Amino acid sequence: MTFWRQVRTVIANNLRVERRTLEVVGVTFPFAVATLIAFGLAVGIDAALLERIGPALYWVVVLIFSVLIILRSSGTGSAAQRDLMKLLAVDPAVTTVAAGLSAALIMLVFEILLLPVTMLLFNWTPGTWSWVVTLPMVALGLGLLGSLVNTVTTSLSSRTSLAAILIVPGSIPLLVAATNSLEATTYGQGILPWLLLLLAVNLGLGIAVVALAGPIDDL
Amino acid sequence: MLQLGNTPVLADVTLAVDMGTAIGLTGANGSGKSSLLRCLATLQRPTVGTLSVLGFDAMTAERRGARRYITLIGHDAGLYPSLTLRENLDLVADMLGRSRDHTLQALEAVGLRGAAARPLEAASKGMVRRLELARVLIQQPRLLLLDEAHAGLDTASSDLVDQVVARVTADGGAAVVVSHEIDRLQSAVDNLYKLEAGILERLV
Repeated sequence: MTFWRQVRTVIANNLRVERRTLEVVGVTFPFAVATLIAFGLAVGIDAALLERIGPALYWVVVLIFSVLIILRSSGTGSAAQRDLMKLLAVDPAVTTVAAGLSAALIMLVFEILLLPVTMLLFNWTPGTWSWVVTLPMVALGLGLLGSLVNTVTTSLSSRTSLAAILIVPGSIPLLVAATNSLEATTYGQGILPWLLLLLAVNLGLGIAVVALAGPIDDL
Repeated sequence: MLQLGNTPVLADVTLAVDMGTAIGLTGANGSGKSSLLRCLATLQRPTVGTLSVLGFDAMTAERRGARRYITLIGHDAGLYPSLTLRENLDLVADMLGRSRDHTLQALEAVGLRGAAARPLEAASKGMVRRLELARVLIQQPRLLLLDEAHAGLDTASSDLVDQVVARVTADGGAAVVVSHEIDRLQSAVDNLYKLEAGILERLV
């Protein structure tokens, strides 16, 4: 079985598990909406200010909840599930790439669901096409980052706390690029530099996910 | 020798398992049986010593080559609770590049064909163990490692465990079976060992 066919099989399996458990859509998403509303209430009733900070709040909520999505139990898998994959002679890179891409797809669904809520709450209209590019790129970056962090921390007893601590700073370039690209189109400015930053970060994360999977498995 | 942190788990273990034979392993809880199985499965490396599994040096990255031929049935099945019994086995078959026809045949062989659509989380412990035995039939390992092989199983399921072990050895493979049921174990294996405080001793 080829590398990508195995990746596809694991992704399909991970998405099937998510569809059955509805851990992200049924549990995480409602809390994200509540958080977005709470942020809005905390800012006050200044409509112009709310409209202006809408994109930033959207991405902050995406970032905060990405930690929950990435570290959810069905996403990281149990030690026994990881052992099973090893004993099926699955290349460690297959497991990490598939975990990253599955998390990216789930993050994308989460972002898409949260977008209309943000637009409604903050009377914010993103640029016509920028979000079509930005959302998948951020989702991919967060998914790969999550897979990388899970791989690095997998056998540590402090994994849950440490992973969260690593994800937040790791996702700052993604957050900065995402916020600025959406704002740039809103104010009629160019977004190419921000998209290039997203691309570079994703590329770096992708390389790290593939390159570190084997050596960490050998530890 | 195997040490986890500062705790010595396996102190003195010398073991050779011939192909086509099964060995039984017994011992008190915490004596290191599961750790020994994990070493044999190449999932854990001894701190000191040598380990060769199916001709692969398990102390180096070469151990990955052996893994395709090893099935470990441990305390945790490593399966997905929200998936059905069939979907769990389909994943195994897919990853091994085997036809999904094997899945139904394996489920039939362990008496689970009728429960194929049942979610794993709704299956009993005995059913989960049968499902793991079905995984053995799909994987056709050269080394079968069974931890607490008969624990919590009814007579029929325990018999099935012994049949699968016999099938693996009859096909030229080797098996290491951990169990507390010494009488049953003796009738199912060629040699019996006892592990006590990390020291392996041959009984029969």
